[in-house]
Amino acid sequence: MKKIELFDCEASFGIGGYKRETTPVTKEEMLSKFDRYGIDSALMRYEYASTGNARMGNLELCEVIKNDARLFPVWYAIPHHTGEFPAPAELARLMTENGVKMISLPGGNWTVAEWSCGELFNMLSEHKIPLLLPLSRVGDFNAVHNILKAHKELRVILTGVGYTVMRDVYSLLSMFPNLYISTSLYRGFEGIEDTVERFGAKRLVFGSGMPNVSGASSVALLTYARISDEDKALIGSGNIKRLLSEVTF
Amino acid sequence: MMKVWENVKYGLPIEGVRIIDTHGHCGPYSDFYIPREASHDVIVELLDNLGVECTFLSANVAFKSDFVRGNAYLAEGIEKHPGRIYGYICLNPVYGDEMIPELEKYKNNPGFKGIKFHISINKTPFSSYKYEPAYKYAAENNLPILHHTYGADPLLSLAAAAKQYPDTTFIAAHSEVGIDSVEKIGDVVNSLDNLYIDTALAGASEGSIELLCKYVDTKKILFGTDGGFYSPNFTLGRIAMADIDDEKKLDILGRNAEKLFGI
Repeated sequence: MKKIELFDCEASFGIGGYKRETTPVTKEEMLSKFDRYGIDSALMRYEYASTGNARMGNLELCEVIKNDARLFPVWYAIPHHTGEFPAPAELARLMTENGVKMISLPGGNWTVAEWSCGELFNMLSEHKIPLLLPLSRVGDFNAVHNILKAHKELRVILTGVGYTVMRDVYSLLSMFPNLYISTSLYRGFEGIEDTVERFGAKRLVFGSGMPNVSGASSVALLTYARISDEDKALIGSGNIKRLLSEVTF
Repeated sequence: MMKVWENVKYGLPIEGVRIIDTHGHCGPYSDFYIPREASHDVIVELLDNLGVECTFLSANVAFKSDFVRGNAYLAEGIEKHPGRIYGYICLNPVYGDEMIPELEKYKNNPGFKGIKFHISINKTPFSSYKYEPAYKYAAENNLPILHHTYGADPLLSLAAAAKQYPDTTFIAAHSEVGIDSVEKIGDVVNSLDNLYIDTALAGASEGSIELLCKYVDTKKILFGTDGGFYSPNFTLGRIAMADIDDEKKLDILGRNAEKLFGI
């Protein structure tokens, strides 16, 4: 049996304020885990950009991974109104310059809403840049709904979607064709199978969630899913590759 | 490292290893959607998919709603899939007078191997006198008790009950929720012959099982997936591919349960 290619949309690394004894932190430790679990490549977020300084951390990430052909940068964005972070047009320019094709939103004392992030979402929509959006960051599905309703062209990959929320997820998947779900925590009993049957394999994107989520778990969730090899290939890497290839600058 | 663990990367069943899932679920659940309601037939299909020999279930309805109805539903599954599905008799101490009759009902059913309580539903502390009839029955009849614990503090509270009832065997579910207190958990689990823990956890982090195995005697860790509540795939994957030696994996995946439940 052939191993499916796995392109991880949801991994991060770097020193942060807390870790456990066995938590992988460095790029090398993460690459070792990827090798162990059969993850071929990964979009990487950088801890310093999330918990240190988004503007500087984003640039540092690109420097740290530039010689690793398997790793691709995901930048964090925060609202630009204070001047701490580039306005959307400038952000787009920097992303182009640095080969960045995905944005995520870090934690912090600010609200993810149309009035704070609308311009950013407009820019992402215009350039078809996927937004890796942690569900925990927006709080609930009402907020996800509001974002998707206001930005119908915005490609959202929702992360941290667990097994107890499929009633909400299915409503949103049926309403918004640009909504995708990262598989990292999407662990419903036959959840992947059922979602593929109802919405097709194109709506799921393989994510490991490492290091906050067990990478081996995420791999096994997909490899053991009782779906076709073609659907596994789409979820494993095909969908994310397509989304990235459609980014326009 | 045994080559068979690589099967996870290919989605192939783990063969040649006795795997016993000591914590699973079956049937519908009111709080959230479970495709095909985790029926007994589907559960066995998924066991075959993974290479798991058997699973120990509690019916979702039994701990959430009506334990009599739920246990009866599970009994059907045990009868239909002997040797593949075993069961915990789910009880609720808030219906104290009904506990012993319910246990007696299934006394001669060899498919029921333990007792299950769910404290987040029944809201009765582990050491409450209300559990005593069941704890004593369990000791007399060699029925381990699976308790829902979610975090280090509940696990430590269960340990207090285990000390109070040394002839009763307890299994603390979802032990890795308390992984940030793993040293404390290790101290207490290792010191009590009658306390085990399981691995059922939907959101276990990278390195969690390795950390657990560093501090807890791996002879006290039982493979459990919550399969039927959510997918069993990923817990099997993370144990099979864990960076721990093969003997520990074999203990966790099946040998410990074999000894504990006598199967």
